[in-house]
Amino acid sequence: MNLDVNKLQETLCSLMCAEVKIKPKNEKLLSIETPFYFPDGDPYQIYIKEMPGGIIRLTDMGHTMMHLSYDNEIDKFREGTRGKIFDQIKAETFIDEDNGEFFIDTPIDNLGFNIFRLGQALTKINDLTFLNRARAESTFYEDLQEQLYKVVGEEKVKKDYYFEEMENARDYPIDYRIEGKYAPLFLFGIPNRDKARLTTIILERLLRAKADFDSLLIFSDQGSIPKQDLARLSNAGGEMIASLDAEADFSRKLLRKINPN
Amino acid sequence: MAFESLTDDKISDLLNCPKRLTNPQARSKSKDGHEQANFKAVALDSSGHEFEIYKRQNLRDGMEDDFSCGISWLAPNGETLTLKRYNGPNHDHPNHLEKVKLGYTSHIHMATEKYIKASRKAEGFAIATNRYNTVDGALHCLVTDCKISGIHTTPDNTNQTKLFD
Repeated sequence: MNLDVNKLQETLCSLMCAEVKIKPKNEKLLSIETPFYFPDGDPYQIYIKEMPGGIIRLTDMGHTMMHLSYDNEIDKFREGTRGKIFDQIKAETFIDEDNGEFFIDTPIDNLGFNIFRLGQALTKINDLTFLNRARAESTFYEDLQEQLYKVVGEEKVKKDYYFEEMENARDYPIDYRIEGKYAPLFLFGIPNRDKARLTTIILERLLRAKADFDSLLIFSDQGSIPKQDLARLSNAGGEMIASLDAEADFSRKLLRKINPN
Repeated sequence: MAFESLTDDKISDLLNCPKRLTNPQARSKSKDGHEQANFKAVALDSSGHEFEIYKRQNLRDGMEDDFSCGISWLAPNGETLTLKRYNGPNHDHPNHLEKVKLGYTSHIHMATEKYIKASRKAEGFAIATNRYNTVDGALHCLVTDCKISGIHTTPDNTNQTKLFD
């Protein structure tokens, strides 16, 4: 390697210094400009507050949670799976929180290191937005299709099928149609309660139209569907698979119903 | 995500259709050190579009200029898209694609086809403004610009100094 490591180090240091600027905001706060940004282009807000005993506090002054609240119900970040990850992030990055304000108390000597640490923590907290419902549903359908094509083969699956012998068929979409052993197999992915209810309506409609079909209902998480909705769906539909994690059940139940040729 | 096909014309239609709040009595609440109010609105034309309007004010000492008001479209696929957001002047917003910084000034984010096509957050582009300097003034601008009825708002007196020039 012909690179001059010392020269590189020197250049990198000066470039990184140029990216970080401190400006007075008011009598109590200094603002630090960093190259960390929210997805909408706004910069992270990091401030310096002087604390007793020569300690300085690096803080976001509660801006991060406020920013996340534009597009998200922030209470959800403290509940269930998101809540566990949220607590993990704080523990891993050693940041403290006071009513939505994230901060690190640091001696001046560790200021640079801790600016990066707070930036990393805020990035991870921001990434919790990837766990929203729409994204989770979207990945569920992608995973379902991948698993389906693996077991059955893409050429045997008709996606977004309509049973045209029924009135207003376009209002009652069927996620997948596969040629079955005795009758066509209609397969529905069910990521939430709304889809469970819609599927019940579609199945009832198909039954009323005297369609000859078999059905397979695959849940993202069957346990999350309210009992009454599940009961109605069970009455109308056929076999169920509780989640995509049950890969063996998925293959077995699917292969039992379809035409192998 | 699912907004790749959204054009500037469609965004303009969403912004310009007359709207009415369906929960004008929604109360402000304090959460995580900021005050927030969330409203819902529907289009008054035949489109049936639904929207959310939000108002945020950081309540911490020294952060009075950290505020924001926005309007989001609730797309039929269940996702939301911020159409416009009126921010306070507490940060220097950069328009990343244009490589331009606006400085510490109030600014209005707006969804654009250009940012969507570049796989950026739709509302990444913003313009500087001096039409407001408080959260209530920002909400007034949003309500006026986006043709929202059913809520009373008050403009900021941003021309006051000019009266004495």
